[in-house]
Formats: sequence, C-alpha cells, structure tokens
Amino acid sequence: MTHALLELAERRTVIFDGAMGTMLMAAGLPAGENPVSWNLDKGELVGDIHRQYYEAGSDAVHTNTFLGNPLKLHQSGLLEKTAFLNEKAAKIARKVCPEGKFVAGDMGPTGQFMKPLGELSPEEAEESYFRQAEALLTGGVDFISIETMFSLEEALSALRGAKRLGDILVIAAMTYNRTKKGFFTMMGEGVAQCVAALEEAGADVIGSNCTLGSADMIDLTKEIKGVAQKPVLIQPNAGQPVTRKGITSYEQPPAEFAEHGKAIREAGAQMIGGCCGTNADFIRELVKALN
Amino acid sequence: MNKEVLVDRLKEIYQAVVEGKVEDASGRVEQALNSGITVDDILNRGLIAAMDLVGEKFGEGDIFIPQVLWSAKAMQAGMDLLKPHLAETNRSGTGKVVIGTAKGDIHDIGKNLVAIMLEGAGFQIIDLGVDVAPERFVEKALEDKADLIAVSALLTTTMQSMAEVVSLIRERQVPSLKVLIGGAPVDMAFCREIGADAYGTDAVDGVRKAKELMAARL
Repeated sequence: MTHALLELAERRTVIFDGAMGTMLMAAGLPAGENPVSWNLDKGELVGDIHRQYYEAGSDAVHTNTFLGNPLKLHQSGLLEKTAFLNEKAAKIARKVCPEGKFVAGDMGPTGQFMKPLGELSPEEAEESYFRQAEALLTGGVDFISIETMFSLEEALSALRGAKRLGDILVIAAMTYNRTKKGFFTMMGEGVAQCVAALEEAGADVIGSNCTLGSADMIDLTKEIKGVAQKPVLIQPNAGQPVTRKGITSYEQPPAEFAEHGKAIREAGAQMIGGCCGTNADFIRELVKALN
Repeated sequence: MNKEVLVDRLKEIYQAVVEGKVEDASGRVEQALNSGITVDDILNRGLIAAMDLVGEKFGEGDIFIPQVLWSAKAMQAGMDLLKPHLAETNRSGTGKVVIGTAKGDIHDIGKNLVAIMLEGAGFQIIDLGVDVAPERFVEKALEDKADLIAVSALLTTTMQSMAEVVSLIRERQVPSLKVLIGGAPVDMAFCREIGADAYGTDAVDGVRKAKELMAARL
C-alpha cells in the first residue's frame, strides 16, 4: 500500500492529536452525553478542537467518532443517525484540515463481549464497523484509525469491516494493561499474538493507545517493535489519573510527556500522539521535544 | 461416605469451577447432592474455594477476564442447583444487592462482570442497568429490602452521583444499607471522601469487599 501518511512516516515522526473527550469535557460536555452528538449540535466547537491540534503541530487528527459505532449509538438512542453523525464528523475535521495534513476516521470499541462470552457475533461486529467506516469515508477521511481495542477478536472484526470498503489505509491500535507477567489486553492476548494477527489481517499501521501512561508506553513500544513489520503508532495517556476532592484528572506535566515521547521515538515508533488527559499543550511540547 | 470420597467429590467441583467448565460443574454438584454431601460443603469447600483461587490467579496476572467469567458461570451453574436447598434467611457472607451504573454513565461491562460474580458468590442480584439515578438506587434497595447498593462508573464526570447515593441513604437514616463503589476512576481517596462503605479495585476485589461488608454486619 502507498499512502501519503506512510511516505511522511518514512521521512520523519508523524504527530497525531491528543484527546478529544478531555477537550470536549473542558468545553462543557455534560456527563453521560454521547460526544458524537456534538458533531451535530456543536460542530464549530469540535472543529475548533481539531484546529487547535493542527496548530499545535498535529499531522493527523481523529474525528469525534470514538463512540460512533452503531452498536454504541444504539445505547444513546442515536442508531438511525449512524451514517449522518459519522459523515458529519468527518466533514467537520476535513473543513479545518490544512493542505497536506490528514483526517483519521476514528472507530472505538462497541463495549460488548463477543460470543461465546457475550452476545455479539463476529459478523454483527464486522457489519457495524463496516457501516461506520463507510460513513467516515463518505465524509472525507484519509484513512481509518481503530483505537482502544481490548479484544483482539473485535479489533479483527473492525479491520475486516473497514477493509471491505476497498484499498484504504487502516490503523489498528490495541489497549494493553501492564501485569506482573507483561503486557496483555483485557482479554489476555499478548503483544506478539495481537501484532501478528492484525498484520495478517491487513493492518497497515500497528498501534497502541490508552490505559498506559507515557512511561509504561516506552517499554510497550520496544515490545511491539520487536515483532511488528508495519509502522507503529503510540498514543499514551497523560500519566495515570489522580482523584482530588472528587475530581479526577491527569496531572502529568506536558514536558514530561514530551520527554517520554522522545524515548518512544527512540524505541522505534514512527507515529506518536496522545490519549486521555492530553491536550494541545502536550502536542506542542511533543513537537518541540522531537525537533 | 468415607472422607476420601468426600474430598475427591469436592475436588472435582472445585476443579470444574477453576477451569470454567459450566456443564461439568453442574453435573458434579448434582452428583454430590445425590450422594448426600452437605450443601455447606459443596458451597464453601467446592464453589467458593474455587472462586477464591480464581480471584487470586487473576490478581497475579495468570488468568484474564474471559477465564474469570467462565469460572463465574460455572459457579453460577452449581449455585442454581444449590438454591432450592439453601435456607430462606440470608446466609453468612451473602445478601441482596441492588446494582447499576451511575447516572449519566452507560458503560456496563464492569457492572455486568461484578453482577455475575456477586451472583456466583451467592448474592441475590437486582440489576437496574445503566444510567441509574441515585434516587432509584435507594428507592429500589428500600423497597426490596436489599443489604447493599453497588454503583459502577467509568466516567470521571458521572462518579459524582455516587456521592448522592451515599447522602440519600444518610437522609433516609438506613445505616444498615451499605454502598459499594467501583470503576476505573474510583479509588480509596474518593471512596473515603464521599463516605461510601467500600470500593473494589476490580470485579474480584468488589466481590471480596461485598462479602466483607456482609460479614461485618452480622
């Protein structure tokens, strides 16, 4: 596959964006509301968050569609708006995307367990991701970015769903816990197993995001790079959350995140961004540290 | 029955639950009941002892959520057969739980996991689902004479409604009704701050805390 994103990654480290949810909550997103609905009600605000990331130095930003899977939207009573909301989100990002930069169509997990543990069949999951990816592409994203997958089987369903739309670039990012025995997904899949299966299924970029802070991500990057053939995208959280006076927040200084970002690049990641708790300041610091 | 046979039978039940073999577990429990092994032995030395080991292995990172769930299901299958034999009164360490996800929060994986495991541990479960208002938790708990309210939250913004559950219980002056909280953003500091009775770091720990709360009550 040739793609401008991969070409850029060969020349220098590609910078992704930081969190969307963190910025939306800072802008007043009420608890419990599906942020995807803000593409409709507060499109300008969502676009402004994208713009802040581009200005901070992001080469690619994620559409505000992490919870835009039809199975997720169903829980918020937005099922019939799946195509509309995802397409709209893609258009919002496209509109503020500078020439030569990228829009990533974000797809997060359905939140359900696959059979036989849960009720979700691989076919149903694949179909739901196909529908979301189709709308994102119609809205004009440059590629699809599957994120925060805690189950390899679901990640593979998402990958198959996206790839049904043709020869499009797909990033597949798992989220790992650090246990006493090493890095594993919530379902117990190890790094080597995940990377091999995702590459076999056609992932163009192998990623990991969320759960871990930037310090742990350095070690994880080394492990992923030990087995991955494809380029690697790493998006750590801003450290671990801290609760004070009932308010939970991420308190890592952006400069520390950026220092860890350097180590993540040294460990071999070709693409770096941020996840929960990161904002435009983190991306700005990261760009500064990497230059 | 001689002691060796008894130990062997209980070990088979224990093993079936540890390995998460649902049909095996119910078959072994039925066999044990038919051969006159007491419900107490089956429950405590078979099913509960097995789940204790499962919890320990999970904590050590030797097994993961799917294995824990299969074991909980196997335990559940055994429990279903024991239920008719259990006394109507609350058994020590078990009770009635009203469970749900905090108001504004629609994340239910963690809540479902805890509900399955609590049921496996012998608790009676009333699952109110997701996005549950504090008033509803308390109303339902009082109406059904529950012993415990278990609230789960994934979002930092929705965990505040856990504090409302606690203050509603204080308002109603029902100190015997306990509150257990859990979910990714919840920690000991938050639990103390809002005055909840306990918090679980994960599903296994949540069940442990629920049992402790019930034991302390007796």
